[in-house]
Amino acid sequence: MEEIKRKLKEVLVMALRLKVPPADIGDKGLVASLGIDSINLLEILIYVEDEFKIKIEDEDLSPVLVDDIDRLVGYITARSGRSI
Amino acid sequence: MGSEIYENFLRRASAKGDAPLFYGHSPLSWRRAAVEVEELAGRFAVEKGPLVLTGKNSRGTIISFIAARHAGRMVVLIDDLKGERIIHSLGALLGTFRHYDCEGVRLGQVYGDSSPAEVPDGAAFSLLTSGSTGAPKLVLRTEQSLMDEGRRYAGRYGLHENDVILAALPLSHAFMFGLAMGGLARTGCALHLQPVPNPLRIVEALAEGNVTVLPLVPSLARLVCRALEVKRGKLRGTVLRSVIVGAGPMRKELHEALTDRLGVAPVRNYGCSEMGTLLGSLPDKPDFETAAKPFDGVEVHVRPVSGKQGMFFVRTKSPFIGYLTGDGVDTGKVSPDGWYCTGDIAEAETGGYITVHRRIGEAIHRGGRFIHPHDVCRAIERHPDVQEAVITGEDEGDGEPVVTAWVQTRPGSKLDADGIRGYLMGRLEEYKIPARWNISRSIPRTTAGKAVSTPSRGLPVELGGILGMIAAYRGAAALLWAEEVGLFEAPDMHEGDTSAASAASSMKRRGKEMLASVLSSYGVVTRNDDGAASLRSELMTPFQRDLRAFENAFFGLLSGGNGNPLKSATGESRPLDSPGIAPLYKRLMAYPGRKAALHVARGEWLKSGPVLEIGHPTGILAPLLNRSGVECCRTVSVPDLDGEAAQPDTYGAIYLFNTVRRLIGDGGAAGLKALIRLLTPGGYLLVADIFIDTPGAYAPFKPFFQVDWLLQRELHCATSDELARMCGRLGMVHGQTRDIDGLYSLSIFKK
Repeated sequence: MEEIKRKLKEVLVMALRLKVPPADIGDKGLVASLGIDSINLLEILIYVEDEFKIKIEDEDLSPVLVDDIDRLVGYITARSGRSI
Repeated sequence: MGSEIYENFLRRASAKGDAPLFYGHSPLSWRRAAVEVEELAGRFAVEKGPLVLTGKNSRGTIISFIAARHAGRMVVLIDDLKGERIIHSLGALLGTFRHYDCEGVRLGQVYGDSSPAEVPDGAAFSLLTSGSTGAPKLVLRTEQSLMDEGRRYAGRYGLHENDVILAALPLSHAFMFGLAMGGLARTGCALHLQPVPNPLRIVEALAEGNVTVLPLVPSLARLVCRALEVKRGKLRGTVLRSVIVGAGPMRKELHEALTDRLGVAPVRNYGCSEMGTLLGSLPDKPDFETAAKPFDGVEVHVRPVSGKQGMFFVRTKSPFIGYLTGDGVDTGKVSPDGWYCTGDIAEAETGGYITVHRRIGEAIHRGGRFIHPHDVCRAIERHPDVQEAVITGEDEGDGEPVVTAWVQTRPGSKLDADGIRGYLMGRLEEYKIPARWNISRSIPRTTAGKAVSTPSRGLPVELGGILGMIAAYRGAAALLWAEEVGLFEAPDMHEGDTSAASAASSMKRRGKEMLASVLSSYGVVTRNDDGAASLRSELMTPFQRDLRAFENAFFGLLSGGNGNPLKSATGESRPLDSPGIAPLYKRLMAYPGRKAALHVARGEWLKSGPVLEIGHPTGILAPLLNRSGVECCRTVSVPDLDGEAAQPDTYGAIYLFNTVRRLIGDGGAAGLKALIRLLTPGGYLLVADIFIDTPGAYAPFKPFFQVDWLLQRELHCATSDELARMCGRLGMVHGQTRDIDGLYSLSIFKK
């Protein structure tokens, strides 16, 4: 799980062109702390799907999904069939 | 009369049989679609009134639309019907309406408790638009206008029955609906439906190989390019042949990226909810951002305002009907001969190209200088930490808009207002640098991804309190105060005019009494901490906003600088002293001026002879008329009127504008009769002023529309309604309206 979380934070840095080290990104309240809007959400989705080779369903597209790293890790794990 | 869209659909379905009509997540053949349309039309036909269709792009949206047209019902397309606010807004416009959930394929509730709105027979569908004002409006369109859109796309881009349009943008968006539904109805093309504008799914659909036409807006186009960039891919070997970018400028970089990644040079589309698609670029024009040519059947006209740039007018054979308002259908935006001003500043170029520059009125006028938001945005967006900027002129009650920036920074940026200000110094003239900054990671956007042009700080107003008070109070007390204080006669009263100062002091006392009475009668107002009933200023009409700004200033002055009584009542922060109240008032009074100008320009009130404007302040109507092509408007101030009175039968129309009390004075009906003598036979006297229609709500104070007062000695009219009835009995009333955003006008013609 920690490995996915670490990769996920790297993906966020890439997708959002963040100028902070991945380790500095918190685990919760990302929408507010990173100011993620609907377009950023789609940018994140592009990178997450590419990196983890999963497909995020349209009905799951929501700021709630990316607001909490643990929730997103859980979603990726479930979609990819990886064990935590 | 039957539905042309339905008839066309049925004919195509019969010819195409099991060929696919819809691709994507809910595929369907033409034959099966025709069955669904018939079934649904039967359900829709059992009742009347508008149908509000909601849901993400699904086959249900298209099927329901065609079925509703077959059943003869007008359709309103919106994203969703969640929340009291949107239901309340629609109820105010539509009266009773039925909701149909296209996604769930089920009839929803009936909303509203009044009769359905009376819409003209030709009204087939309606789109919710906020335009540049931010105020929601329902645009009424005909079937023919949609068929014409399809014809324009077919003519310019060769849209035909074998095409498949990828519909990923919301179908409630005018650009997407015009292309998808108009194209389908006109050419019999198919649709690939996607419920959300997801760039990865778009790329996948393109790769599947059946999509030939891809409509995008700039923000989604950038995301599609990025998706392909991440996948290190370029689309080649697909059947995609046309990429159409609408609803925003396409910059050169985006044009190049799309060409590179998709292998197709995109074209740019320009249109509006009211008239559909109007201009389309051609690949041979190197100016990617703005230049385009009118589609066949679209006439254009640029009326110069500054140099070659001017107001952009368009005319088609199927103009929109008007806006559906709470008071009925407002047809005032289209001239009798079909011209419509899009609200943009454009420039006609050689070769028939049109370059659209910006919105009319977008320029912020402050300190005697014009500031174009576009210039300021461009300068701010050059900062590496800035993703996007929007510039607005925010009314803060001092009579002039404050240049305000809404800046979306890039993720992780620590940029603050001082940082951007410092960056702009030397790059932008100092007077253009915004005074107010709102820096965040997001800018309010429409569902299509466009930045809302007037983001609001969400000024909270207690819905039932302040608005109720404003509705009844109108500008009456303010006008009363302004006249009695002599604000316009003595603008320098604060500089030592003792009589004016004394009058002002007296009025302030009286104003406090008035205010206390009004607040008491409305039980105003407790602050709503959870904000559930708050109304954001972008939901107000422009008139309501102007009125509110004026009343802010007015109440602030009434308070005498000893605390704002509205603030203590509502908890809301409002500006106090406002030296700019006169310009605010003038802006308010321009509303009846504009309305009158429209009527005069249509020829309704200009039967013979020139127009005489008697205004206070003067000079509001004349420039509006001149802009409409009526150049015979003479402006006369009240004191000069005596000279005019000696020349009877001179004017085809006299516009009496905010002058009733002042003009007539103690002369009673004699003043009105003197004016009627100036009219040519059959000429019209137009009376417009701020009007109160619920005098009982504040009985201690006289209604301000004082026609009753000026005529009561001879004609015994107690109210303006009675005056209208009386004139009607004498066969003198041509018409009376209350459609000037709550102002009142009355036209009396000379027999």
